[in-house]
Amino acid sequence: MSDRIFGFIIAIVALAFFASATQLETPFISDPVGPKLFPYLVSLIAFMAALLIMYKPDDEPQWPKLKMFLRIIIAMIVLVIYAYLLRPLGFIIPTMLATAILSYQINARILFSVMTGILLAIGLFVIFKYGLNLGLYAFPK
Amino acid sequence: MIDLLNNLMLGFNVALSPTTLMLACVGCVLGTIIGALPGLGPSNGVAILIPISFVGIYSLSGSHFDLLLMIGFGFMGYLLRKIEVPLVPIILGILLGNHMEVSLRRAMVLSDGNWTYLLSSPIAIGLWLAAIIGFIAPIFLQQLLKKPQLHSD
Repeated sequence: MSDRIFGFIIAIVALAFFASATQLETPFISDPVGPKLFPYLVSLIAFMAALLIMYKPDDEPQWPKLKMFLRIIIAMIVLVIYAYLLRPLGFIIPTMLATAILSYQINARILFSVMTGILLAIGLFVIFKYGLNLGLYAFPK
Repeated sequence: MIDLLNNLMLGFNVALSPTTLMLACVGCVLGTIIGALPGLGPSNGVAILIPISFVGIYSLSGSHFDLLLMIGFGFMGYLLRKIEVPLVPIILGILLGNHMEVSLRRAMVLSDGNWTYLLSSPIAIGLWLAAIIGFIAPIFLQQLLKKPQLHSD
């Protein structure tokens, strides 16, 4: 079933690619092939490959359990928040929070993760700022 | 014989120049640090790598959007690995796709739209044959060859 869904998505992407390639305009002075042919070829091959995947799917892969998926989703949400906080709050505070939460997700020891977060944030900031001369702000301006 | 010795001495001369020795020292230190990373345990390793990759992108472009792209592609890569899509063709496609289109169009300019130009030299025919055989052979050799080992995660 997973392979069928994957093939379906690829087929739709290939069709969308084909449709967007028809919108390409051939310039007045052009080579004999023009800009459209290669996208057509690629989308046709991708479409055929997608049909083949849908027709002959592999065995069902081992999907992780719901709990594991939740942890992955939480990690992604943490990373997205981290990405948005990096500019307004400076480097150290968001890095501390993000690394502490991720470290806690991998091994559930609170003190250890908090120490990891604090030490890593400060250590990485020193390396980036003074070792590599990147333009980072430690704290909100 | 004399020539051989002379060349050997030239080689030592380059190998023992101050720059090379300095680079060797830096390489040893870096190698030790990087080699110690797995010893920190998976939690610290991941926790170190995430800020490094974030800052690497952020200091280049300074926009959230690139960071979100990175997260999205990371999740996509996880899904693709789970359904066992091989990695190498995707990388080759990203790296070589542009070259393929540019070269095809250039060849068509050179030959004025004549498609047999792609088969006109022995080298081209040999490369076509190699590509076709490489594409078809695994279908028939599947029983003989062992399945390549999958990534474990």
